[in-house]
Amino acid sequence: MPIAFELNDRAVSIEVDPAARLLYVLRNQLDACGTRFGCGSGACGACFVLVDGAPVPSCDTPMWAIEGKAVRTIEGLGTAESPHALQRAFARHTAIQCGYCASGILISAAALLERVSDPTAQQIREALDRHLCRCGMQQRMVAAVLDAARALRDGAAASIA
Amino acid sequence: MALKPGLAATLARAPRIGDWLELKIDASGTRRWTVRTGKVEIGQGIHTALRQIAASALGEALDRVQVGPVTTAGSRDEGTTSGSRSIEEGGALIHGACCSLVAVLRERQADATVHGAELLAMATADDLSNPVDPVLVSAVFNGPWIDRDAAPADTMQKLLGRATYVQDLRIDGMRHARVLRGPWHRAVLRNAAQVQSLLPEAVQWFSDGDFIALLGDDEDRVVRAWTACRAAAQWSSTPLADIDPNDPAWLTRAPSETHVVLDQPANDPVLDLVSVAAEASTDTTRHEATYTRPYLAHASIGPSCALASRVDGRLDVWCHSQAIFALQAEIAGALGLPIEQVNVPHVQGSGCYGHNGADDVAFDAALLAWWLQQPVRVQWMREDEFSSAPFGPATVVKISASIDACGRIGNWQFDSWGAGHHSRPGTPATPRLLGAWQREPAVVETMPGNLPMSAGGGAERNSVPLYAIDGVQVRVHRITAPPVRSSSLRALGALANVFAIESFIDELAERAGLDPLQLRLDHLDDERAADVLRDAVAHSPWSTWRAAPPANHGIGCALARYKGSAGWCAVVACVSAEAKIQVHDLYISVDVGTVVNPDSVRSQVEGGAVQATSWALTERLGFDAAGVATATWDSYPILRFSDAPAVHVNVLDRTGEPALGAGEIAQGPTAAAIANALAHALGVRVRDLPMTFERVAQAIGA
Repeated sequence: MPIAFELNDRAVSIEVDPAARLLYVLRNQLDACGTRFGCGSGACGACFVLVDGAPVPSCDTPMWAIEGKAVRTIEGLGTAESPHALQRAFARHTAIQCGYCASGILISAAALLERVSDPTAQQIREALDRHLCRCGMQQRMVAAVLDAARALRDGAAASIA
Repeated sequence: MALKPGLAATLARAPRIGDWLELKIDASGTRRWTVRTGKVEIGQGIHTALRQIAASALGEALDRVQVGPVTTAGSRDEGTTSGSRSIEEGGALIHGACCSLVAVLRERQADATVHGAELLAMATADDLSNPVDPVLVSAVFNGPWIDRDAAPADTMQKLLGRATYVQDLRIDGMRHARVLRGPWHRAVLRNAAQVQSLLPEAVQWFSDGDFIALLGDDEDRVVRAWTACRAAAQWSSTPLADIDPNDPAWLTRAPSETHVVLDQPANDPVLDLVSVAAEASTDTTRHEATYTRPYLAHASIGPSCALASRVDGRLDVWCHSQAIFALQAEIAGALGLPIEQVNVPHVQGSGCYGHNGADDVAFDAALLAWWLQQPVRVQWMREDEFSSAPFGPATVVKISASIDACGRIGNWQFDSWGAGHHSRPGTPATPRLLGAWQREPAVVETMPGNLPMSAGGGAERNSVPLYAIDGVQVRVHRITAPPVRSSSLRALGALANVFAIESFIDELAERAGLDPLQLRLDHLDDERAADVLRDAVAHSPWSTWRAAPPANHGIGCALARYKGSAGWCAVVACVSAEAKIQVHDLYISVDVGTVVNPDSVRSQVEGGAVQATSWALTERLGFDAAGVATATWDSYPILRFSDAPAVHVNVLDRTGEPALGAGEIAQGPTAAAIANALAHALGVRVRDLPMTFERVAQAIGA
């Protein structure tokens, strides 16, 4: 039986072992390698994706658990032509060095901004606390998320006006 | 200024401008330049800086200059990308090549009003066959800079989640592999038959000597098989049943070789007397203290990965090694191949912070691809990175010195004990690759050494205090046969040495009732060192906090010049010690000579300081009888967002001075400044890293 779900707003149906982990299916079968392998136990945050809007580690999420759900990965956050406000802000702040942790952090930050449009720095740190960044870019990332939140609020205000 | 011997040798091998710079003119007449460097991008921003150096020297727009792929087949061998030498050396070569081209064009164009784009428009491919002028290589490069704070060209690619890393490479027919290794790097699987019987049909078992790998077409299945095998595996016993490699008693007693780094007798004979009687009669106080740091992991977020493919007689090995040329020679040596048959292209990986599993995993992939004649991708698991990769070695540092009634420090005695900091590839006859030690015929495992002092040393790095002290003796005792692997971890010996020296200076000040800042300044002949120290202090709340810190808070400073010959860095730390130890602010001032990209320097210093805060407060590899007891992030906590300090970096303007690296200057001073701030907050001193809450409580109770 194929497993059907939504990936970045597109319907997907795939013949796959239901026990296979979402991470490997994304990377090897669905051409979405932006979700990174880090630890295999949900402890580092590199592989986070949104499942029905909630950030979860794809490295220990079996395929059967996402049947009928909506999955959003880093590829579904923004495009080269139209990057997400978070991606723009991270670039503006050069908030990465190696960047390996960035996909997961952007995903969790996006989930936060969906819930809280005007987060404090403390709220951002708490929301990102499951994520490890070994290059030590935490300070820049928090500043970038604050900046992105501001840009999104300004954009929303502008579109209402 | 004469070229450094290393640079001169590199230039002798690649003497033409065209060896370093390529020019293509497209149909519309647009010039496109490609910088051919042997230095690899590991997230430190070196390729961006090289583009800026080239664009600035040529007078070309930054987007017309790119950096070509770095491969052993197509790039110049510039040695290892390590030791904060890439700007200093790699940058000088690119700058020299670009300036040489401009000089060639200038010679043809007598009209001085023709410059910039107009001058460059005269350039043809033939011009690149001219030699690089060594004088221009040794010239200081100081702009005028184009796009000073430019971000790396691939920043948005990474943020969009595009394929970037070696982990993302895929080639047709590629098989996924995992290596099966135990909790100790030389552990031998004892129940191989039983473990092998657990494999599903879709997963293949490969063994060569003690080297074992699992392969399949479906990565998820291979990983599940690996997990099952590892759970069932029984491993041979290890020397760690009798030794705790972190234990200071073992470290100081293990067989070692002594390297006398400096033996400078005191001029003042009084200071040379160390007997208690002499001290009493001359108002001289002698102080002694011992400091330790544990084994530390590189702890890259993405475990090491490589992909290898054998086509006819040729072996391509894509990997994230910092030393692709040395690795190429070792892979060829280990497999008995002519070196030309092996090509090692560098592809970015997760940040490595030194010599992690990058080279080992490359050999794992090379070995499998060579024997199986199939493209193979080897992805180490988190557990492999913690148990099989080399670590930064544990170190004990003992310092004693005198301080007289006038506040003069003298008769400084420094001893350190620990394993070596260098096991990088570079010895093809005895490859330093884990798989080569495991397979048949096995090569003998080489023990970690220390780099020569001309390369900044290993354990010796920053062991000589930068202060003017009468009588200095520095000895480094390298443990000759440590039971666990060690190699370069960012800053090498500078972490333990600067932590110890700068803690000790504060202790001396306290013993003598002196201000620790003034004591430092009184012993500094090096004006640039004094400048960064004063600048960091000036940006911090030093005087108010020193006099009256908030309750349970403290402030401390520390200073070092990396390697004694590179960048200067001073750190002032503000900490609190309540329910937990928290580093709130780090005020950092650096002098790295001429700066190519100020934002990149700030980023490197910020990141280095945060990493050092993590080393200082939380990190320690654990060992037990079976090997490395640390296998996951649960047992190796690193600093998280909630605990990350605010880092305030000020980069001094030294335009016109030689450019120096910035990636490793902050680690030692950061750890020491935190220790000094903690001692200021608590009135007791913690001399062992990591400075955990438990250790602080112990120190208070003692």
